[in-house]
Amino acid sequence: MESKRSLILRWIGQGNIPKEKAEEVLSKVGVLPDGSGWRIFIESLLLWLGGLALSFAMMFFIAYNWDEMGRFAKFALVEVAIVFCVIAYWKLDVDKVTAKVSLTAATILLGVLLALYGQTYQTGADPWQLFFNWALLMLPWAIVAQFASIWLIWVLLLNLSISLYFQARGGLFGLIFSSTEHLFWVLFIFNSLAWIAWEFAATRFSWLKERWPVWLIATASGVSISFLMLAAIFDHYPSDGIAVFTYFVWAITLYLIYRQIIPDLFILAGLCFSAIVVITSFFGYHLFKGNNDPIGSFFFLTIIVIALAAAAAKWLKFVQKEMAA
Amino acid sequence: MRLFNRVERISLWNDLSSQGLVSGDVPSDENIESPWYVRLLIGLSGWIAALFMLGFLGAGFSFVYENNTAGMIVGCGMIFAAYLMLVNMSESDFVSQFALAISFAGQVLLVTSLDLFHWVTPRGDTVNWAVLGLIQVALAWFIPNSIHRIWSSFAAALCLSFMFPKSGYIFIQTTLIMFAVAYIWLNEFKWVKYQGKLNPIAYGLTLALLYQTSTSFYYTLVIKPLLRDKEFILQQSWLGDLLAGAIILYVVWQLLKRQNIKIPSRVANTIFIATLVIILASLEITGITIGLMIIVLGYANGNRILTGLGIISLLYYTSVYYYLLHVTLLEKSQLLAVLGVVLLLASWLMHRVLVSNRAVQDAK
Repeated sequence: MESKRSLILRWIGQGNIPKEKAEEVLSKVGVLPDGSGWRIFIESLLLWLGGLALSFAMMFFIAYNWDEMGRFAKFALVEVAIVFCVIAYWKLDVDKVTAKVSLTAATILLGVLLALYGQTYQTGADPWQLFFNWALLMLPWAIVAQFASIWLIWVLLLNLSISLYFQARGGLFGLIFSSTEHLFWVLFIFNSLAWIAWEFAATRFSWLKERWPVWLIATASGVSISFLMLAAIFDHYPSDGIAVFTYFVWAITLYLIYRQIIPDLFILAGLCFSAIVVITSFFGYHLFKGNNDPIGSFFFLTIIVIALAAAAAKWLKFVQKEMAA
Repeated sequence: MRLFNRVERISLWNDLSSQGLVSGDVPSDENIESPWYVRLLIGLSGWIAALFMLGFLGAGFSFVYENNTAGMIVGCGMIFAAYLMLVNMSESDFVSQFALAISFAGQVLLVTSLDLFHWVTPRGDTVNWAVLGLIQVALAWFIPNSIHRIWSSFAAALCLSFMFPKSGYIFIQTTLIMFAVAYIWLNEFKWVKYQGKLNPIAYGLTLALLYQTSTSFYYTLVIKPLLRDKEFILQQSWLGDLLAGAIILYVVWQLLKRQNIKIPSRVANTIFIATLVIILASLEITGITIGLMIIVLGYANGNRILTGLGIISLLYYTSVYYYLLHVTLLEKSQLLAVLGVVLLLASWLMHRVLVSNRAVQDAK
């Protein structure tokens, strides 16, 4: 499968479309934008950047903790901004860019408000609680907004709060001694559940059909389980057996789903890269453990990586051709 | 990004044929380009293999690291061997991958033998960086592999910046890269017969530009040490900002010409003024204007990868900007607030002028 732009450029490169007609063809098929496309794009771009710049300006201002401004004035500033954004969203057509920008700005400002609260009253709360409460409070907006990027912010906030929780508390509910291994198990489970939920929701809601948010969540899930496999290879935790079993189940599941049911070359490519890293690490660990032949070990690992990458590239090209048929 | 299957490709070809833009049978489906993430996988794997290859050389042939001349000869030899493999045997995925690994390893060997780094900090050896830069330029042009071209053009741009580490010309250098990026992307379809070479080179230069303007790593290594000579650097920094602004106006001019908008006209004047105001409002935060330029170029060419790179660089630059210490958070918040207001006003102004212009055209 290839995009329209890549397709036209390929036809031009093969000589099937005259080079002097390149821009004309690209314009006619809609790859190059026309006047109305530019108008919508410029307005949307400036709106988004303006809204985000103002939100981040507020964030930086509150982070500065300016003594010359009283705490009530700071609270008023942030709260008025949030109310303004919410009213703007309420009044505008939800499909319009201005509405989406307003709600996204309100979401960011909600985090600023929570940070201001923690900064002002010195509640002693851990940083993970800020992100967790932020995610909790923005949830109704995410449900109402029907906007993929806000859901992605929600997933990101929960990832951050999980990471900071383990940094602060060490282990689940403070009962188990801290380890990075537990952190990655929780991240893997959370991101995999988010991934599954997103794929199911995408079959129902057209505003979730874009693939790039799924790719981001899939990457988070893949990085977590790959790390657990590497930990099983190098460090030998108690849950090694489960990690290995889970990794194989995860890999087989991805292959079956994204090869047969929801063709997605990005996820298959990610799976290949994870496999290359895990297999190379496995061989690397066992070759260097008590081995007096580093020359042979390095050479073997070089060949292994090249062979695996070449095989992955060949297979992915084959799958791509199949998907394009 | 809508991806096309065979039925849709045939339908598109027939549409173009009926409009007289193409003729003949539907082209074959050979040489479909791999998507960017497959090329990224191949590139990363090449680097991993290169690292193991360097370990192999270190373990078995340590003289290449101990003797600079030997290192240079072996490094150049490896790069040349990779070139021969890619020219003659690129149909084989294994050979291509092997060649990439050899070339990357050879380049690392060359850098260490030229003694260009003190740990990760570049040394200010102008001549050696110039030599390496010229080698990378030659590799970017002659090696027939898109991943290698992206890497070599990226590396060539970095070599240019490391040539003059103690001077303020670093800012001028950045604008040179910025101009090259803008010029190549704006003329992508005029030079379409060189797209195999120029597209990867443009991507490599774009990545170098975004790396230089958006990453704290580059700032800490290269920019921060310069700030000790404040007066001179301030002058050069302002000159760099002015040149960057001029390049953005040039991009806008070219895009207006592409859309056949008369210059001067109400629409063109409004767009120029709005652009100028945005440039002035973001003078202290040039990472944002550069990211904006990349997004606009990506949209203009229907290139979603480029647009995505611009968006990622903007988001990343904002987070890096938070931690830069050259101004306080209060000043940064003021700059962002001014920029935010300017952008929203520009959006409103564009809406009024472009919509009323459209109404006038429809009435005619």
